Amino acid sequence: MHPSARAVAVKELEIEDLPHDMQDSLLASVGENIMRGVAIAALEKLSPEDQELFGTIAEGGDERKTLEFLSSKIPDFNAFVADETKKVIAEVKAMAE
Amino acid sequence: MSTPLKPGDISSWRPGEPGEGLAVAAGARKIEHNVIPLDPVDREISMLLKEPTEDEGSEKELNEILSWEARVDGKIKGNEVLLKGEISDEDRARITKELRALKKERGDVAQLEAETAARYGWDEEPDGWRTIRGQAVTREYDVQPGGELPSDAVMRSAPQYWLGARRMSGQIHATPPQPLANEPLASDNKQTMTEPKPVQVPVQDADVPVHEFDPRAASEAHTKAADAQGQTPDTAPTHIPVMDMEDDIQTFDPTAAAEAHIKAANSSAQEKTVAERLKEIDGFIKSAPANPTPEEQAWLDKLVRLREDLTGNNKMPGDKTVVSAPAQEARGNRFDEALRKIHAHDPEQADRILNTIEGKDGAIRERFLKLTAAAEEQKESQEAKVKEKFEEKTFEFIKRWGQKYQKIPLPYKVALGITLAGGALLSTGALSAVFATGIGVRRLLAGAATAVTVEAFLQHRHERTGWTRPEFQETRDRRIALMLGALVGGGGYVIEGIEHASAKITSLKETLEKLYEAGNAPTPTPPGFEGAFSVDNVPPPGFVEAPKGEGWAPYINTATEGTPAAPDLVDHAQDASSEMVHKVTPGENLWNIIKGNLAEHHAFDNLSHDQQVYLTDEIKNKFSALQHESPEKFNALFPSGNIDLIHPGDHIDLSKVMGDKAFMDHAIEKAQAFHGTLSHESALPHATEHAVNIPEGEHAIPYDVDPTRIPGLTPEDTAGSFNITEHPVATVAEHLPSSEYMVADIPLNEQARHSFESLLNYAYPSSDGHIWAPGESSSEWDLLSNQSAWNLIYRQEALMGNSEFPIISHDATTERVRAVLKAIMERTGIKPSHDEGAGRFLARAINAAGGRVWMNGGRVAF
Repeated sequence: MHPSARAVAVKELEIEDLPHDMQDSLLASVGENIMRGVAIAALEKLSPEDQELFGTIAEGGDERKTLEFLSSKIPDFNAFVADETKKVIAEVKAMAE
Repeated sequence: MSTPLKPGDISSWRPGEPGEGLAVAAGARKIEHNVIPLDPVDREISMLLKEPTEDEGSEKELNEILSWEARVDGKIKGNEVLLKGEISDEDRARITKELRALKKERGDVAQLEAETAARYGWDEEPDGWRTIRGQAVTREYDVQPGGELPSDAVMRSAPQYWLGARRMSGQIHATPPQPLANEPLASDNKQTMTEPKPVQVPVQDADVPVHEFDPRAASEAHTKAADAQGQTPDTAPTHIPVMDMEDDIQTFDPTAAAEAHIKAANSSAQEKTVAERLKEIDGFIKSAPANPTPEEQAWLDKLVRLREDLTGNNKMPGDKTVVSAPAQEARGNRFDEALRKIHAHDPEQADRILNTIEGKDGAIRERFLKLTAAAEEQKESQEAKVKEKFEEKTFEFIKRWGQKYQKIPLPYKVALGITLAGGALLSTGALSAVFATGIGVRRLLAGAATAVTVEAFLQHRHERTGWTRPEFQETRDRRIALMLGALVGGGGYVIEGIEHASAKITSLKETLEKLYEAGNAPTPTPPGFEGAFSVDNVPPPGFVEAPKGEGWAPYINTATEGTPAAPDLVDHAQDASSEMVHKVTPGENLWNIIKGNLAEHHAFDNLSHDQQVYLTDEIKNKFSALQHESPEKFNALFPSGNIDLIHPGDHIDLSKVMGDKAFMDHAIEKAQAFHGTLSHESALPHATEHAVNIPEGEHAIPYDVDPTRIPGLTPEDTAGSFNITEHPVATVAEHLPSSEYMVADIPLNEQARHSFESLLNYAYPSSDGHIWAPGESSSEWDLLSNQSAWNLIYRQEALMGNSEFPIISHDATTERVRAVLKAIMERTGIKPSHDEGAGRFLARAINAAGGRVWMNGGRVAF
């Protein structure tokens, strides 16, 4: 049986032994950082003009357009998000040491 | 003694002998003929006194040095630095002047404390006792020379320090000695210290060292201890007198500084093992009086919390690991800083974090705090990077995004975190879609990110209440997950996203596959996108939008018209009709929800008022009939099993009845044919009448309202339902006079008393059907009413009991009281303080609600 997404996330953050309420708090905080971290990494791949365009599209609230735009600018955007996600998680764990 | 002392010679030094400076520098101060340990500030003072210089520097420099920040910034790095001479002569001179002033100030304070004690006749009391009382009253109430001394303050503070003083003096008294033994209070309850008696500094027996009760010094010592971190054994001063733990506990004070006091003791070379400290704390707790005063109880609670700090997973009794106070302090400072920043941008998150750590043991709390602080630092680092690297517009975009993101309810932040953090290993194919949804923020609640995670989240919500989720609830959770993730975000994504998820949600996948396959042709999607948003704003499969004015069909379920469709598909497809899925808000009932929906869809356009009532009731009755016609469907609609009991935040799929075109057309025909007189208050029973005794216009809310709306509740409290009906009804055998539940300092008028009794009748249902009447109460309530409401509400572990400190048992009655407390808190906005008993809190909240609180079934009504 494959583990649940939560179990994988909790294991990835190495917080299996914490109570659920603490896990929730950390998942929420780290989730926000992942979002911001991936966004920053994506923005770094874009030209200043594209950065501004990305902001405009994203703030328009059309997720599909946002994704289409990023996918057209960043090769293999799925893998890119996955890699950056792992980097953020690794960083926060290192900072907690 | 004629030769100068070394630091290790303190115990033999006496005032007036050579070496005073060095002796005091090493941590000693004289009180008459005794030597007692001092806090590090005093050590610094005395250290500098041994080598005074003439060059004392400018006032500005002195002020700079005086500030604690300057000292911890490295101007002075503790006594060790001074001892080693690692400070410039110039700095030493500046510090000398300022610390001399500080020493004088302290001397004045000590005199004032002695005067205070003398004023109240405490100079006749045992050695040390009066000192403690004098300090407590003077410092706690900021008594100034010649200033007023509130007599009630004395009355409160005297017993507060009674036990410590008693133990210190070695005397045992049945009751705390009363203040003002020699002099009556002024009629205005104020004492003016215009004529203080001659100062009599307490004299101690030279053979019995007495430790100074000094919360302020302890606090400073605690902070100062952090400076000692990193010192090596060969550079650290040896044989500095330290506060023995036993003695320290004997004078344990009820202030927060007391905790620091104990920890500071550990920073010395005579650190104790966890086991030793636990033994000492346990011994002290066991010696506490059987009926402690509220003040004594307060600091006993602190001892319990200290004990919890020491009993982390890696600090079991017997563990020889030394607790390092400096290390703890350093970590604490880091977290404090992070918490301040969190509070600045999200006060509710800060509040939630504080609630989360409350009651957790030391090791667990430490790990959590480290990660929380790290996450905040990472956030700060990210924001700094954005500001540094990107143009203003991009910076502003990220900033605005963050602000919007923070407004998302916690469960959805958790869901997104799970999806992103866990998704990297589960399936990379969907992460980009999740990211895009999170960037969009506004659709996060219903986007692709949640389908997989919300179901698991909901499952956990129920499980952590100790409740085994019944099938109907599981079905309901799945439907919520589907609504949020699949039907708005897109079935294709969810299928792909849960490809490797747990087997428990395999049925989700199967359902979605049917839905996806039966749906409209998929919208072209970008590479890797897998149709995540392909059905955006499109009526779901199985539905067609019918024009208005042709009977009842806001969304007609074609399946009921004979279109082949799998039952599951029909069920879930109906969920997709956002117009027909109503989210319950406080104060609503099913009847009004139906009525509102009918009006919204112009079903009332050609009906009289009575006909509108008739139609509404027809539909309501149809919902009610589902209980017998289709129990599974009914349970999915009303998990409470009662159409009268719906909860804010519930989603009611009206299409289950109102999506049935044949039924609706027939009902409308019958309404049009009705020419009688009806009113909402007429003979037709209404689906969700307000609770009995609730004044017209007042709202009734269920006790298990969504607590995520309560600022400051811990995530564990977001579990929602307390599932009270799952527990056996408590048996109440004893009735006590009403005075037992009347809270002494919270008077209740007749109406408020009625409210109180209503709540008790709910919390303590009698097994014999007895209804509590005025003048009766339960002995169980008598016990529980004195327990901390805060513990009852927030500390789940407290409910489980503790072999050493059995506070609250985990039973049905406690659960009911807990539910009532939470509901009252949610509705009134009144929160209990940590030490406030459940009875007092209820009385206070009821009064705040104007005394108008009723229980009816599972509802708290106002």
